[in-house]
Amino acid sequence: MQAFLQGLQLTTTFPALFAIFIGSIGGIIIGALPGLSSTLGVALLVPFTFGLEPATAMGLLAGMYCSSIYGGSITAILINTPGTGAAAATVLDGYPMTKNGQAGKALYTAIISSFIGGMFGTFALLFIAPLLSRVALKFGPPETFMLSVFGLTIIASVSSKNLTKGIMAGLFGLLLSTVGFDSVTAYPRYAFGNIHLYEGIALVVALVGFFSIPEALTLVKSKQKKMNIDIDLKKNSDDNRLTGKEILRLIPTFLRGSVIGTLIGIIPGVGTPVACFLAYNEEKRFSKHPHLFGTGIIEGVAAPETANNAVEGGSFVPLLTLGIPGSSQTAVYLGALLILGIKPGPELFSTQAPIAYSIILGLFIANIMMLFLGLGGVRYFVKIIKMPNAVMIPVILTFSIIGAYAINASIFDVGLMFFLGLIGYVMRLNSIPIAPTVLALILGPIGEDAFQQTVSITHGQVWMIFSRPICIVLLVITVLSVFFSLRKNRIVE
Amino acid sequence: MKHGKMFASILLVLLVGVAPLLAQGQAELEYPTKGIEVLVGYSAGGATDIAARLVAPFMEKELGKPVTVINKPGAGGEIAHSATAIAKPDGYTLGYIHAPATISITLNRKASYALQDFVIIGNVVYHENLIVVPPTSRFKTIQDVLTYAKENPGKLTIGNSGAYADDHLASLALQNTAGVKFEDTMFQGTAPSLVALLGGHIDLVMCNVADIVDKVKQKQLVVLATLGSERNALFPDSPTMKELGYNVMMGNYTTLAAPANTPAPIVKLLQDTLQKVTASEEYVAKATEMGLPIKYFTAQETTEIYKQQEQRLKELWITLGLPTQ
Repeated sequence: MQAFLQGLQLTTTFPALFAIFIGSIGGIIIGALPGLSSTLGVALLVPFTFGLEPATAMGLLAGMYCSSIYGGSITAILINTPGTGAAAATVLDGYPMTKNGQAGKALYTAIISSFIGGMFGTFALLFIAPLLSRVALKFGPPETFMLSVFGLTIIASVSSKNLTKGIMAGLFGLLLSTVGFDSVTAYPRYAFGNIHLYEGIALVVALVGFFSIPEALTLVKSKQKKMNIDIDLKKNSDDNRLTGKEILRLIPTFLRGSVIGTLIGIIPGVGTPVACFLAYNEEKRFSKHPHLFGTGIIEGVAAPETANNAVEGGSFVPLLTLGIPGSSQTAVYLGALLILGIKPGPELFSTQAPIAYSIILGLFIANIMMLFLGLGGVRYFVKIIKMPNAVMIPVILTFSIIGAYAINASIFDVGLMFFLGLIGYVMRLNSIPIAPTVLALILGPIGEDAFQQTVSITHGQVWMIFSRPICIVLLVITVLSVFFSLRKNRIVE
Repeated sequence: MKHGKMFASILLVLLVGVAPLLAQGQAELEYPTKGIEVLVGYSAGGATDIAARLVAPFMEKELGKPVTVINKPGAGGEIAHSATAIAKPDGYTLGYIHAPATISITLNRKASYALQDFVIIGNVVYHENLIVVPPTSRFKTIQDVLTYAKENPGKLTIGNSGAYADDHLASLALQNTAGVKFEDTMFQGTAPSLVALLGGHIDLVMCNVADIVDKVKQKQLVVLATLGSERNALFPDSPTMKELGYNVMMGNYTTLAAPANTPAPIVKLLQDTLQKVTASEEYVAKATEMGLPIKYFTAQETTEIYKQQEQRLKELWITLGLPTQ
C-alpha cells in the first residue's frame, strides 16, 4: 500500500501530469491521422523520454498509447478511414451513423466506450495481473492457431448481406497475407524478386490503401461540394449525444468488450485489431437485432471501441509480470524502460514497486485525460465533415502517402498502397465488403505462424492439439459460429 | 558559355584540391566535410538500432560532422545492406552488417549484395548464443539435454527467433557437432519464443545474451550452456560448449562497414575513430547502463571473423543440405 501511494506521488507531480496531457493530445492527432499508427506514435516519443523522470517518461508514453487507440475512431466514424488498425472494426457502424446524421452520437459513444474499456483493462492489470499472466502462458501456439481459425468465422458477421462475396473477400485477404517470407524456409513467396515484398504487406499500407483511397476516389466522383450531411449539434440534439438510457443499454456491451479486449491483450502476438473484430462479432451474436449491425447502431461502435482500449491494460500484463512484450506498442515501451534503467519482470513489484505502480497509475490518468479531451473535442471533430471536398481529398491523400511511406521509409510502399487502393475501389463499386479482406490479412500471418509452430511442437501430429482444453473450447465455438451464421444466412435468403 | 565557365572552375578547384594530395601522398584528409549517414537494417528501438544510436554521437564528436542513423528496415536487413553496398563509396554512407545474418542471406537466396561489397570499419557489439530453460525444467545441465536427445532424436523442441537467424543457425550447428537432432520451432523474434518456453509449450530456447540477462538475474530462466569461446562473466556457472568438447561457437556480431571501394585514407580514419570511441570510458559506461554487450574488434580481426564464419556457414549449408536458390 505504501508503494502504491509512493507511485501515486510520482505520477501526480506537475511534470508527470503535463507529460500525460501532451501525450494524450499528440495521441489523438496521431491516432486520427490515417496511416500514423499508435506504435509509430509511441516510438516517435521514445527519444523525448531520455533524461526524464521515469514516471514522467512513462506518462508521456501512456498518454500517447491510450489516446492514439481512441483517436483512430474519429476519422473512422467521420470519413470512413480508420486512423489505426484498432479502428478497422469501428468503421463498420461508425460511418453509417455519420451518414444517418448521427456523427455526434457516434463520437460520444466512441469516447465513452474507449474510456470504460481503458479503465477496465487497467483495473485488471492492477488487481489480477499475476493471474492473467498465468492465463497468458497457457496460451501456446495451438491455442493461438485455434483462436485465429475462430477469428476467421467473423467474416460471416462483417460480410454485410452477401456471404459469398464476403468469403471471396476474405480469401483474397488470406492470399495477400501469404506474400513474404515463409516462416519455416525463409523463402520469399509471391515477391517476384522484389525485396520490398519480402516481409509481406504492412498492415498500415493495406489499411490506408483499402479505406482511404477508395473513399477519396468516391469523393472525387461525387458531384457534391461537400458531404451532404447536416451537422448541427444543437439542432438535432438527440442524434448527436448519448442519452442516459442509451448508456444503460450499452452496459452489457461495455462488459463484453472489456473482457474480450483484456483477454486478447494478455495473449502475446495477437493484437488490438483482432480484439476489435472479435468484440464486434460477439456483440452481433448476443444482439436481439443482429440484422441492424452495419446500418449504424451504437452497439457496433461501442463494442470495438471498448475492446481496443481494454487491450492496453491487458498488453501490459506480460510486459510487467514476465518482462516480455506482448504487442508492438509494449515492445517499444520495453525499450524505453530499459533505457531508463527499469527492468520489468517478476521482481519489478518487489524491487521497484513505486515505479511499477506509477506506470499503472499513469494509464489511469491517461484514460481520464483522454475522456475529457475526447468529450470536449467532439464539437470540433465534427467540423471535419464540413470541409469542402476540394480540401478533404488532397488532405486524405497526403496523409495516406505519409502514412504508407513512414512505416518502412519506402517509396515502394506508397505505390503498393495506391495499387491496393484501386483494388479496394473496384471492390467497393461491386459492393464486395472490404472488412473481410482486412480481417483475413490481419489473421493470416498470426494463424499461419501459429500453425507452423503447432506442427513443430506436436511433431506433425496436429490432432494432438485437441487434448488441450482451451483448443477444444475454441473448436466448439468455431463450429457453432459457422453453423449459426450459415443458418442465419439461409433464413435471410 | 555559362556552363563552360562553371565546368572550368570546377575543374580548377578539383585540380587545386587534388594537386597537394598527389604531391604529398599522405596529405591532410578533407573528410568529413558534411554529415555522415549510417544505415540500419532494422526498425528503431531494436538491438542494432540501439547500438547504432549509442555509437553515433561519439563518432560525431570525434569527426566534427553530424552522424545520422537511418533505419531502412525490410527483407531481413537486406534492403539496408544492399543500399550500403551500392552507395557512393565516399565515406558519407556507412552501414551496419551482421555475422551470421548478413552472410546467411547470401547463402539462402539470391541476394542483392555480396560480402565482398563491404569494407569493415570495426565490430561494435557481440553476444554469443546460449541455451536457456526455465528453472522448473527437467534438464539441469546441457549433458542431460544431449543424453536425452541422443536417445530420443527429434523429440526436444527448441525455439528460435526466426528461420536462419543467428540463433537458428547456432542450434543447427550445435546439433551437427553434437550429433543430436532437435525439432527447431520458428518464432517471430525472441519474445514469443520465451513466452512459449515459460508456458511449457517448448523445451529449450536458443537466444542471445542481451535477450535474457535480466531474466536470468530474476531467476525466470537458467543458462544451460553458451556458445562462446570462453565463459561469459555474466553467467560464470554456465559452461561453454567448447569446454565440454564440442567445437561449436556461434554469436551475433554487429559491425560497422563501408562500401568496398571507399578510399583507403577515409577507411583508416573511420577505423581509428571507432577504435578511439569504443575505448572511451564514457562510451563504456553508457553501454553498460543500457545493458548492451559491446565488444570492439579491430577491422582486421573482424574481417577474419567474417571470413571464418562464411567458411563455416558454407560447410553447414552443404552438410545439412539447407535450401539455396
